[in-house]
Amino acid sequence: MSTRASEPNVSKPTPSKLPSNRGLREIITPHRSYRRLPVTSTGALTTIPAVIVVEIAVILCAQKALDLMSWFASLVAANEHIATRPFPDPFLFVTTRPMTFAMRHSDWIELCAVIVICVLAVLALSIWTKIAAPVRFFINLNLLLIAGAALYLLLVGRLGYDSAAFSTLMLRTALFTWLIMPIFVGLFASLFPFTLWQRLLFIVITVAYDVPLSIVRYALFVAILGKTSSIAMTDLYLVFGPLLDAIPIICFFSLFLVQVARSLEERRAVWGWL
Amino acid sequence: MVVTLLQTWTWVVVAIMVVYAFRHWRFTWNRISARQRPYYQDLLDSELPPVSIIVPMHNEAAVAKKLLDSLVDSNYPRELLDVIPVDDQSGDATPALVYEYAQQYSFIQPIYNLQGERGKAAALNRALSLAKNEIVLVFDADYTPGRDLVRELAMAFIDPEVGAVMGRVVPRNNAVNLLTRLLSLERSGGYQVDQQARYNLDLFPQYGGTVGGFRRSVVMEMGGFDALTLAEDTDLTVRLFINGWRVLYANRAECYEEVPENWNARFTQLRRWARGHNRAFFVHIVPLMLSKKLSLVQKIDGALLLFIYTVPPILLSGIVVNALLFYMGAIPVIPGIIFAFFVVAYNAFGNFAPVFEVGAAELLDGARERLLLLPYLFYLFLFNSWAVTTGAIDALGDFIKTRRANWDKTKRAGAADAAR
Repeated sequence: MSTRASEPNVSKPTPSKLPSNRGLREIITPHRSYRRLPVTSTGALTTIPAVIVVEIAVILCAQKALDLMSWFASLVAANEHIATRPFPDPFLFVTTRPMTFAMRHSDWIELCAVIVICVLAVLALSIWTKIAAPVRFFINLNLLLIAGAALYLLLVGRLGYDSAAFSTLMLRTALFTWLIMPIFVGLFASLFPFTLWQRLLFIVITVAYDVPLSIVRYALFVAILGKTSSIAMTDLYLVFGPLLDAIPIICFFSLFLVQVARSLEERRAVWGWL
Repeated sequence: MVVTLLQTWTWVVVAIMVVYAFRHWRFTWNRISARQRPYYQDLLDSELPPVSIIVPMHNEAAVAKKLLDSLVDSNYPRELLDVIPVDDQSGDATPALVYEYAQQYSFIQPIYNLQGERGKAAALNRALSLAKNEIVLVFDADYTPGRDLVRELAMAFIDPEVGAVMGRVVPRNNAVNLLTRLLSLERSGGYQVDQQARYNLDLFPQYGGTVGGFRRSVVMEMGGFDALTLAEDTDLTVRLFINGWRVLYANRAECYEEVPENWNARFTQLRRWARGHNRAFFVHIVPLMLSKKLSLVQKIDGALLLFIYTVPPILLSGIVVNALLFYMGAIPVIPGIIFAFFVVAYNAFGNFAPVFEVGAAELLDGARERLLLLPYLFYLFLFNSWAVTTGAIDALGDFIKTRRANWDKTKRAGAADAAR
C-alpha cells in the first residue's frame, strides 16, 4: 500500500525548467492583423535566376515564335482570300517577317456614318443603364476609339499606320511583351512564399500562354482588317493588344496565390506573429 | 513637335506608375515579411479615458439602428461615454429613431440640425462644440463597431503624441454581388497592407474619418473642420502631420461597414472622395512640403498619398495620348506595353491598391476562393478612372472658384440588407 501511495512522486519527476509556450504559438493561429507570411529575402532573390532563365529561353525561342506568328497569319489571310506580301525586318536580335495586306478604303460617307453611329451608341449607353456601368464604359471606350479613328481619317485622309507598319508594330510589340513580361511577373512572384519551382512555373506559364495568344491575335487582326478597313486598327491595338497580354498575368497570379493559400491553411504554424 | 510632346507625356505617365509600383511593392514586402509595429490594445491595465462619439447622419434610418445598437452594446463603461448622433436635416425617420434611443439611454445626446450648413464637416463642427470629452471618435452611420472597438481606438490617446487614430474597415455586405466582392478586395488591400505598412514604416497612415478618432482640443485649435471640403479626413490627416502630431493605424480595431451595392452609388461615392481628396491636394501640398516637422521620406509619402486621386485622370490621359499617337503612326512600343501592364496591375483606385497588394491582403486575411476574383478587378478600371476623373475636375473647379461642394451622400442599402 505504501508503495502505491508513493507512485505519483516516482512517475512525475520535477521539471528542470518551465515548459516553453512555443507550442502554443504554433497551435493558435494569430489574428489576421498580427499575421506575417513566411517569406525571406533569400526566397525572393531566387526570383532573379528564374527571370533570367525565362529571358534566355525567350531570346532563344523568339525567332521561331515570330516566324510562327507570320506563318499562321499568312495562312489565315490566304484562307480568307486576303492578299499578303511578307518582307524581312531585322530588329534587335531577330528578323521578323511582317507583311503588307490588302485593306479596304473607307470613303467619307462610310466614315461619317461610323462617327454618327458610334456617338449615338455612346449616348444610348449613357442613358440606358440596364447594363452594368463597367461594361458600358468598356463598350464606350471601344466606340470612342473607333469614332476617333474615323474622324482622323476624315480630316487627315490616312492613319499613321498602313498594313505594313501595323504588321511591323504587332510583331515588335509581341517581342517586347515577351521580353518585359518575365520581369513584370517576377516582381509579383518575388513578394510571395512561392517555392523556386513555383516561381519559375508562374513566369514560364504566363510567357508560354502569351505566345499562342499573340499568334492567334495577330492572325485575327489581319483577317479583321483585311475584311474591313483601318478604322478598327487603333481599337484593336490599344484595347486588344498589350492590354490583353497583361490580363492573363493576373489570372495565373490568382491561381498561384490560391495554391499558396492552401499550403498556408495546411501549415498553420507558418504564420508569423507580429 | 506634337508627337514628341505626346511621346514624352507617355513616358511621364509610365514614370509615375513606376514610382507608385515601387511604393506599393515596398509596402507589400514590409507588410508580409517585416516585423509589425504593435498597437496600443495590449495596454490592458491602463485607465480608460472618457470618450465622445460623434455620428453624423443624413437620411440614415435604414442603417442607423444597427450602429446605435452596437454602441449601446459596447463594453466601454457607459459613464465614460457620450454619444452624439448629429441628424443633418434628414428627410426620413432618422430624427425619430435617434430621439427614441435618446429617451432610452442617457449617454446618447443627439443634435438636430434643422437648418443651416449641411455636410459632414459642418456636422462634426457642430458636435465638437458640444462634445464633453477630449477624445472624440467618429463613426459613419452605416458602420457596425464591435464590442471592444471603442476601447481599442481610445487606448491610442494614452500616448500624448497621438493626434488621431484610424481603425480597419471591413465590408459586412461583401457577398451581395460582384461589386461588393470587389470592393471588399479593395478595402483589404488598402487597410491590411497599405495602411499597416505606412504605420510600420512611420510614414503617412491616414485618418479615414469613418472609424477613428482624434483629440478635440487639437482640432479646435486648428479651427475645426474645413466646411468647404468633402474629405475632412484627408484634410485632418495632413494638418495633423504638418503640425507635428502622429496619426496611428489600428489594424486590430476592425469595424464593419456597408459598401455600395450598385454602380451609381459607388460612382457617387468615388467622385465625392476624389473631389475632396484632390481639393486637399491643392490646398495642402505646399505647406506639406515646407513643413519642418516632417522627415523627407514622410513628405514624399504624404505627397504621393495626396496625389493618388490625380493618378486615374493621368492614366486616362495616357490612353487618349496613346490613341492620338496611334492615329499619327508614332506610338512608342516599350512605354506602351509598360503602360498597358500597369493599367492592368493598378486597377483598384479606391485606396489605390495594386493587384499584388490585394493578393497579399487576402492571403493574410486567410482567404482562398476570393483570390480567384483578382482578375475581375480590371473590370473596375475604366469605371473607377472615370469616376475619379470627374471628381478631380470638380475639385479643380471648387479650388479655382472657391465654391462650396455639395455633399452627395452614398445611398444605403441597409433596408434591403435587413430584409435579406
